[in-house]
Amino acid sequence: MNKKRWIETGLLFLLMIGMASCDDNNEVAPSVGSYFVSVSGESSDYVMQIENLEDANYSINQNVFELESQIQTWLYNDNPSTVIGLIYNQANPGVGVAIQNNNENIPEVVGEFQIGSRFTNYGFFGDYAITSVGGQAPVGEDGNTLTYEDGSTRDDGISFNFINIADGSLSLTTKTMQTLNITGNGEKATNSGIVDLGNGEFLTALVCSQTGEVIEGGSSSGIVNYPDSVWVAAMDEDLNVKRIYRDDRISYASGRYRSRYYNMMSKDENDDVYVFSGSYESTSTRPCGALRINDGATDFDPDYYFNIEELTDNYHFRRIWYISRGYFLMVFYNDLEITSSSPATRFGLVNLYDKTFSWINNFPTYDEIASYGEPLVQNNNLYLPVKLEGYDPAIYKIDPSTASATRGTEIDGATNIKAIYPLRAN
Amino acid sequence: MTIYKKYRIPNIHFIITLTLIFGCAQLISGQKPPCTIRGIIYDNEGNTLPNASAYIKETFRGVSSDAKGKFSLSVNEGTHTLCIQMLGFRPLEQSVTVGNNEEKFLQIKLKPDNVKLDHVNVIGQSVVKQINKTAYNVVAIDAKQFHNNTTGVAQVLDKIAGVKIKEDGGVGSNTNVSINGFTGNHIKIFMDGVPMTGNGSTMQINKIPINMAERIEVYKGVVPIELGGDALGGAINIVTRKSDMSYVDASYSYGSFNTHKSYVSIGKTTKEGFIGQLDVFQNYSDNNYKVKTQLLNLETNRYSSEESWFRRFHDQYHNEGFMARAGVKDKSWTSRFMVEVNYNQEYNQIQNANLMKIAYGGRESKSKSIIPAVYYKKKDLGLENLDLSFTGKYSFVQTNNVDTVRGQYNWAGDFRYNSNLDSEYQRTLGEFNSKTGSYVTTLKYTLLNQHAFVLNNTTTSFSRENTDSEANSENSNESDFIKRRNIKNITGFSYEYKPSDKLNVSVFGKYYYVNTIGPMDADNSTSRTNFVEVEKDYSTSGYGLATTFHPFNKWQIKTSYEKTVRVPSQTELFGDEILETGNASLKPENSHNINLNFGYETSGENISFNAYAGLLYRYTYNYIRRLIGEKYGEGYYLNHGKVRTSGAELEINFFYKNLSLNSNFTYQDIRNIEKYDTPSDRATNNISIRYKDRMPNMPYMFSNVDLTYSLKNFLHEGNHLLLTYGFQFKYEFYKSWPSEGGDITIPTQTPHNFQIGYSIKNGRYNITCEAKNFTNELLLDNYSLQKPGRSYSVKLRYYLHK
Repeated sequence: MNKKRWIETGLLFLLMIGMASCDDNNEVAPSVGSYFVSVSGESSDYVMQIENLEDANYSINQNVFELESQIQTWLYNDNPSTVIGLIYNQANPGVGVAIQNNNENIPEVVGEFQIGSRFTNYGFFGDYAITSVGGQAPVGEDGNTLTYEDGSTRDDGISFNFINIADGSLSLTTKTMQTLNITGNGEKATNSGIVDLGNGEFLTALVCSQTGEVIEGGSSSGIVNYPDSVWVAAMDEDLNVKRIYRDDRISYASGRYRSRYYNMMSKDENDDVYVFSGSYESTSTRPCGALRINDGATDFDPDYYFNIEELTDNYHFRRIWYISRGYFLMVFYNDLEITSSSPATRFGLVNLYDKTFSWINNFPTYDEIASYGEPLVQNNNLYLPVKLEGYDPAIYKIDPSTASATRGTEIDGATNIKAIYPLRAN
Repeated sequence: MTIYKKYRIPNIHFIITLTLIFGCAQLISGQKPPCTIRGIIYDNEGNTLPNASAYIKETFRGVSSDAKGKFSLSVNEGTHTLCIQMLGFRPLEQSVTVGNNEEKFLQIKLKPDNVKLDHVNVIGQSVVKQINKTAYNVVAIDAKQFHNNTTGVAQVLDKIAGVKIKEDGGVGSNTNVSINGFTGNHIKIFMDGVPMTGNGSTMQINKIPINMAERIEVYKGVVPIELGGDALGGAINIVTRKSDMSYVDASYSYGSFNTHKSYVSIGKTTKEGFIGQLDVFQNYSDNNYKVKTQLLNLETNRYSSEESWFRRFHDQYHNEGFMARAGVKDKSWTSRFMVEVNYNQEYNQIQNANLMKIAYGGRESKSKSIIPAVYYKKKDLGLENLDLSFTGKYSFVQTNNVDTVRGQYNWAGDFRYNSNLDSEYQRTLGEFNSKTGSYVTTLKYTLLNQHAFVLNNTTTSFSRENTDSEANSENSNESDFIKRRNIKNITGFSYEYKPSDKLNVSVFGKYYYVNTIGPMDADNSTSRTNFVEVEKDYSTSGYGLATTFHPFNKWQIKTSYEKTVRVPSQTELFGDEILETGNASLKPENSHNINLNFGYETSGENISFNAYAGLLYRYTYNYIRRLIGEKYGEGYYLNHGKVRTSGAELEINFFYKNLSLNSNFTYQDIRNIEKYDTPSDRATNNISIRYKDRMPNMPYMFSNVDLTYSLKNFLHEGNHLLLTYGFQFKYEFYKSWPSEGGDITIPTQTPHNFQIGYSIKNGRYNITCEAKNFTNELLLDNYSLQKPGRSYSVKLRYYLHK
């Protein structure tokens, strides 16, 4: 081996090291602002902070930090100091994160907790963020799984996780309730939605179904034999059922999406609770509509009934969000015929006070929308993150009084904006 | 290209290899050139020398001398360099000229070599070398050099340029291989040419005892038709021991974390040609190494903000198995016929989720497999130089997952009962049975010593069912009980032209056919599901070219190209009943793979040097991507995405007297070159922020260096000492896209390993002590999933053959 070859070899090696060391790390300083935003990239989620909802352009690489896992659901209530991110995997125990702004007003993870059971429903009650899942096997006092008379494992349990967000401990307590024959019809129930009544009680809607046989929806509910009835339970912190509201004018109050049971209830400024049904069951004869539980009442208001379906060209809706002054944003299924995984990207506005409905003006059509995120209500307007096919996601400002929308701030490179929230400085 | 020389117990491997050479040379060439060199080999006392190797230096074709010291080599007309080697004797080189149809007879006398044993020992690895010399971008590794080590097949692969292994943890943990950035179902793994997919979890690369392997071949980008699979980015073939000698190979090792591994292999071949072989093995480990993570407070369900060290407490793994073979060779109706039964079982405790901080204490899985197989080979099948081989395997695999603990564990090993939880992860006692048939048929015809035609057909049929409906009732629906079947039939044809030893050209084509049956939800209502059985046929094709030539002495240049194919899976075509919507109009994934390789080899009196440089280019398109979004309702598959890979690999091996240095370095630039995230973004010209960014979560710069010092006849004649120090280097890489501003990385890691081995009586008794990761560096391949820290092991091995 001669000298020249050695040198050549060495040079080649050096060249390769040189090639390899040219690395690419586009560091962009995060901007400081007052809104917490959760955005998705191609395979990761990031926390961002933005100042302007209405007419700015941000890039995903201006994020504050990358999250360890992708977050399915962000929970935030009227206490604007903490946001809670929950991972939803099919059945995995997930790691939830709590995020607060630090002294410099930058969001940071202040705590992580584990949720042992999955969840199909969530909301806030008192000091707690609550998640729940039905279709669970309850356990007797002897520690053994309870069985039905035919010997099969019971599946009428609902597991609740109570996450304490008030004392900052994020401690999580799990409680289970049994629902067999809870409404008197011999069936089990899965719950949907949480409405804090402010008096130590919360409301949750019940989806009653036949025990044992599970058809879909992540094994939480079975065949629905009473699709023309609605039930709402009032419960306390210890899951004692205080009373059950029942009616036959609408179907059950839950928005179904795969295994999810989306909230269909909301309290207005007068503390009256409006209860919706999107008539998900194809066997239901009741049109989509809404009922009211007046503040302090023990029954549905017999004088209030709103047939929404007759105003919506027979489209059914999957989810509702309360804005203010009786206005709700609703999302409807794209097609008249629906399944648990049917896409729903038609947006409309209802007013429950004057019983009016309108599709939204200046808003993308349902087939242009790829996905949307959780909205934010501010100053009687609603800010809805929407990702259109072929465009970066943007925040749409929806003014309910005119039923019109304006395209606002965009976030380049994000595949989705999951949530916006005005996180308070600490 | 790589010839790792970590361990060499020459006498042991020597004869096996020679036998192999003999077999392979015949099989591979399958031809009878017109001239013959015959000879008889003696020592200087006139005794004949059996099992000496005789080979032609220019072609590396060789044979071993028979029991009477005789050998016979078929060659082309012309002048050849005949090399004779045998351990304990000085190697001999002699120029021999033979005329057309001439038969030369030589009497050869070897001189004893008491000073040192031949170091480079070319012949000892000549099958491996022969493969490395083919036109393909292939690395063949002689696995025998690791037979005294506690290392596994996966760790051997991890040292190869362009190849990286990702492991989740210790012994028995999930292992994923990547070749030049291709991973998962983009590469295919074979055992003796049969796809390993049907083997069940116990017979995979992270669990097969290394002593079972004779050699390991890694084909990068371009895969010969003999390995029938839809490999987009390359293939690995593990070739098991196929000795026709009588032998005993028994070893036991003990190491850190209460790890015990045993392996016994015995084989006997009678003069009448009957072969009987039995391999029995066992691995056991508590995997109770320490990890640094957050602790869950079971009262509050909150994680500690600080990380601390915990010992793994629920990660026991053990597997046991045997492989029994019986057969005959050299009969009128067969050149070799073997019947085999392979039984394996394993038990695996699951310690943590895909995030380290989530600890489990009760989840486990069990698996059993029975794999009967038949091997048949016939040379000169009705026609001279027409060779047939057939392998048929049928595997029954039963897997049982258990997750029934009501409560939660944390890393301190504490448990809290919680009646509100029905399991730690997903309640199951489920039992799944799968059956896989694999049938590989190869027909080869050689004409005039220059033309070779090969036809290969590889058929695999897979079916799965849940047999125990009671055990599965926790989480199942009617679709689970609908038949799932997948038949893949791959036919390849190649033509090889070899006008001289300097040039070799192969062209090939592959045809892929898939027939699949599975459940699909045919009901559109909200209240019911109605799964029906659907069936689909699918076909596509690919082709390629490989050439090599030797422009000058010592130099070799190779180029190869293949248009590769990956056929869509059953889930991609049909969906998975719950979360995925299938797309029956998917096209296969494709890639244009190009390799250019240069090799240089030289050797002198006490020194030897070889260097290999490889340049590679991959253009992968029609990526099958899973899109999710409200719009699709659920996960949805479509062909969208392009990736371009350019890379360089350099390998340098240097031998000086007793010292050898083996090193390689890989840099691969894997870029997303799909300008648009979705087809709609193309319509609006919305260019992706990830365009031209490096593909995430994939190591792109890594290196491996081994330094070996051997002392022959240390303390006593025939006893050898071997010291090896090695390190691996893997540069930091991003978990997600740098262009998105991702800031989570998998850090740069450089584990150091040391081992000392002593073999007595030329390899009959061996003892090896190893210290792995002796600097106790924190190692992880996947985000947060830590691998073992510093560990020690000792292995005792007895090896005897006749």
